[in-house]
Amino acid sequence: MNNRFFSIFVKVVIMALLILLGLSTLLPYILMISFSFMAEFEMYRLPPKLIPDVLRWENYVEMWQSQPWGRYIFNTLFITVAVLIGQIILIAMGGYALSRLHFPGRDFMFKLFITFMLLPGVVTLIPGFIILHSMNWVDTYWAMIIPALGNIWGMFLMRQYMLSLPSSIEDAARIDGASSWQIFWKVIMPLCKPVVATVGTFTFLAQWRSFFWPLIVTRSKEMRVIEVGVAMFSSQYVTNYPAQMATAALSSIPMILIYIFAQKWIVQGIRLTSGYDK
Amino acid sequence: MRRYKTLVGLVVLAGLLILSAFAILNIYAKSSFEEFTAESEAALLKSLKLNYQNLTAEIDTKLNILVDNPGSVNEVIQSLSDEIEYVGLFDYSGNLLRDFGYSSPASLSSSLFFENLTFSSGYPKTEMTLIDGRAYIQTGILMLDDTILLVVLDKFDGITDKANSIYERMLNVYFGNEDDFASLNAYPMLDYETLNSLFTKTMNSQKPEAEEISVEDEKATLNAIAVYDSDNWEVIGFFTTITESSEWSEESRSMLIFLWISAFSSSVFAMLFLYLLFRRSQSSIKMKRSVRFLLGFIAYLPAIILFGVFAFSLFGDSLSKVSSAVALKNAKGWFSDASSLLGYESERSLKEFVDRSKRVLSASFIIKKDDNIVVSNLSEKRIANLEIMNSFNQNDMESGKAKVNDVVHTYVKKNIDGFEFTILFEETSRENSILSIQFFSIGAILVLLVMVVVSTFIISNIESQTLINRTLIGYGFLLPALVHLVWWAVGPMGFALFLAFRRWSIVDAAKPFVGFGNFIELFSDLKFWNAMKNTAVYSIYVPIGMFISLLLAIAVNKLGKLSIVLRVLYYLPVVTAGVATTIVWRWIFNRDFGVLNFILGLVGIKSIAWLESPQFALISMMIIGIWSAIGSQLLIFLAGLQGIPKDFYDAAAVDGASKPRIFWKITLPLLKPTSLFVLVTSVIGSFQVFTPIYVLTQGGPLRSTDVVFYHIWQSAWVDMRMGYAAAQSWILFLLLAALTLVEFKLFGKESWQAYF
Repeated sequence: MNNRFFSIFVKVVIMALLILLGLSTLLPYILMISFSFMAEFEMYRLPPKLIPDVLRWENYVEMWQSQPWGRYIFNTLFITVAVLIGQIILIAMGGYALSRLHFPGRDFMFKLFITFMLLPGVVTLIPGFIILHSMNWVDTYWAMIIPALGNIWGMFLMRQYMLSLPSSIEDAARIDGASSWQIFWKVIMPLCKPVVATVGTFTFLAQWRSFFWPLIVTRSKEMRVIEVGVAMFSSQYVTNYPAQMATAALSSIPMILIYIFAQKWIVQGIRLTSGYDK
Repeated sequence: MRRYKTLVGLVVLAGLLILSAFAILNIYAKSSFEEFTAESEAALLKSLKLNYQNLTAEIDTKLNILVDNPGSVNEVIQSLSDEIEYVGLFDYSGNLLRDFGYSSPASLSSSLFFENLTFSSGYPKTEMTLIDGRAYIQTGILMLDDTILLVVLDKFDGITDKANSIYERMLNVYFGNEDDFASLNAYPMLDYETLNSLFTKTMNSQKPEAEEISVEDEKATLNAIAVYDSDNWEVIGFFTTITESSEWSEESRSMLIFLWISAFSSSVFAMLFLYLLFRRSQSSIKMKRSVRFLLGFIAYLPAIILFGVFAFSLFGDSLSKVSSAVALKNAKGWFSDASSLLGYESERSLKEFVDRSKRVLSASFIIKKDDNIVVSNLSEKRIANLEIMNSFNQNDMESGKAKVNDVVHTYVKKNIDGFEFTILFEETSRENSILSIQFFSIGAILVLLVMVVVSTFIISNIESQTLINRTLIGYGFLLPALVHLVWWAVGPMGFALFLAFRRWSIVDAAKPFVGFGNFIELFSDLKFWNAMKNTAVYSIYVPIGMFISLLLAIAVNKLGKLSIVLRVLYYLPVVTAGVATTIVWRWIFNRDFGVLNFILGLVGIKSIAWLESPQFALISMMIIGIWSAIGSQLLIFLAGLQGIPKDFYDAAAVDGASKPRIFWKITLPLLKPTSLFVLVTSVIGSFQVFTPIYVLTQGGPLRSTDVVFYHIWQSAWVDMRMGYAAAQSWILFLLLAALTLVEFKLFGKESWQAYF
């Protein structure tokens, strides 16, 4: 009896800790939203308060008027969508070749890609920038789209997923005289929707919050993306904390919504990574 | 029949590929050569302008005595008498007081100049002028007694003569501004629009500009530079020269002939040899693979060698001929001014002379007497470290190549009246043209090497058409990803290594080779090693985070429905943390009002200056790191846990193993591949942390959060030292690669084979 009580007690404590930890993960987001509605003096209070006295929408208005946020959001969205489309095509084709086509050198190619998956990006940073510079792509959309098209990890997921499809599905199409491209586009791709959704979600979120590369390849305000805008805003309006929080919310909320909407795909993708679903 | 089709396709492809590679190289080399000669012509024009400015400065100096002493007018006129065309002494309102026995020219178009003088500050003003269709040098001064001395000197021919004798160009001077100009001897007749647009261009850019024209149906280039009055605020005319297309054609023609001959001979050779290889492999089926490959390589060898010869020797030589010829001309022009300067003046004005030369010519100058530096625009340290690479004597001059601060220069040296004059021209634009041609050839050679593999493969398997087709289709699908990988990962990696041995900056044209200089500097650079240390300390968060997330994974694994909600919560920061959340962290870490200190205060811990104190700043970064990474590690561990077959646990339970024992003997070993994956990816990730540091601490306080990625970014984009930064990134890469290898070794082979 005592023993059972103890184990229930332990379970409850663990559960409470887990939930507490989950909430503390959320803490920055909660603070972000609540501070973004506060007047400045409300932030300098002890103990800290989470609920603002009145909702100050002025923070958002002020923030929105100080920078061309519409342009930043358009840039971010445009680049994200372009990368998404280009990347999916590129890696789906690559994944298809590496999983369902048989040709000499295939395994070597796969190993080559996997090796470069582990390559730290810092090595290619400076030469990549110089290449862009010599192509006169600095401060253009190209600079943010083209280098981002490769995604070896996504191609790896694609390959693993396509390997798991039965080989009989191609045979029927091949007997009907379909070309390789038709089989890829009409037979395989429709079956790959789950993995496309997974990779697409990751790519979308990664592109939306990409910061370092846009920071170094853009100069003008017209080309800025949202995260660079948030960073510049926070260094320009150092003391206006509520407005900074409003910019943070502006950038984060779309991501959070996409995340909640697509979390199923993300979890699926991770299962694939762990190497057991072969 | 079928196999002949394939063979013909291959042979034609090989021939066309080689031909087109040479054709592109041809176009590329020709345009770079033309660009280079255009630059050289511009340099000649600058030299002419400098000659003119030296001349006016010389006359200014002769008149200088009048600034304090209006009485010495006669002596000054005496000293100028050889070339005097006209002298007049005027009062302030323009009436002639004395004419010293010279009669006024019919049209003394000096009203503007005269007005100019009445506003001047009492110093001599000298400039060129046009009188009765002839060019003169005009000078004047407003003296202390309010009289104005105006002198017209027949001296301009000296400039035109120099153009002919030293630079071998015909100088054409247009007087006036860009809209209204008159020429001395307008040959050839050029239309107003061309001249007007060219003059506007050179006025706006403040440097020589060129325009394509045709002279008697021959293509030619018109070069122009604007000449300003002595106050430098009004254009008084333009110097122009015309370069006929035949000027440098000897150098470029031999280059292009070489390219065309190589293109045809090497493509014919490749085609014939491939055919022979095909015949041979038909007759002796049992040919070894390596032999086949070697023969395939030989087919392309001539093309590869010719590419290499052109890019690494011939092209550079052609440019060298141009650059040394131009350098010699420019140097002669400078020396002639230097010797005339020494004739009327000595050391005092040498500094002005060098300053003026530096302003007009982009070159460096050293003037020595008895091995002591009299004046130079280079620092003494640079001169002391000047490294002469080769030299040869030519008449009374010595010329050759020298390195100043690692940058290759052409130098020309001459002794004049006991002074040693040295002029150094940077070879940067030549070196950069050669570099870009070399990059192109390396690319082309790599393509040809790929063709070697392709050709040998096709010829060896020509019997099995389906294999060839399959291969083509497979690589066709892989091509976009492969091209992207080569262009943005494999190539840049090699390029980074190339950069690491150079001083490279996007704001400086000179990109000299410095050998191991960057690496030597790096090993004694305490700031870099401090950044390495900080990164190593920072990456300790990885095992801590892994430990926490493993415990969490085990706890969450058994929760059922709730576990899905928790997973979603924990994972949120992994995909949404960026600049926006980092800004919030700044507030959480606030010393006086932050949430973290408030919570710690409840437990009785005193306020900590998280971001402001060197002890805690890095720990703050690690907290953010754990917060944003724990979710991903947790989910991967969860997937790993769920991948362990149930049977294992059942069997263990039947054997009566205790829970801790099951954990140590079954769960942990089976999680090895997962742990390896988490460890490798997280460590690589932790070495590349940037956003929180950029947003929150900028590497401070006291460089306590200056991690290596941030340090590299600073070297490359703040200090503009991309070569040095590339060296740092290579060292980081090697360390990370070694670390990853150790991790792989530690976990054993079976842990990572699951992925391949």
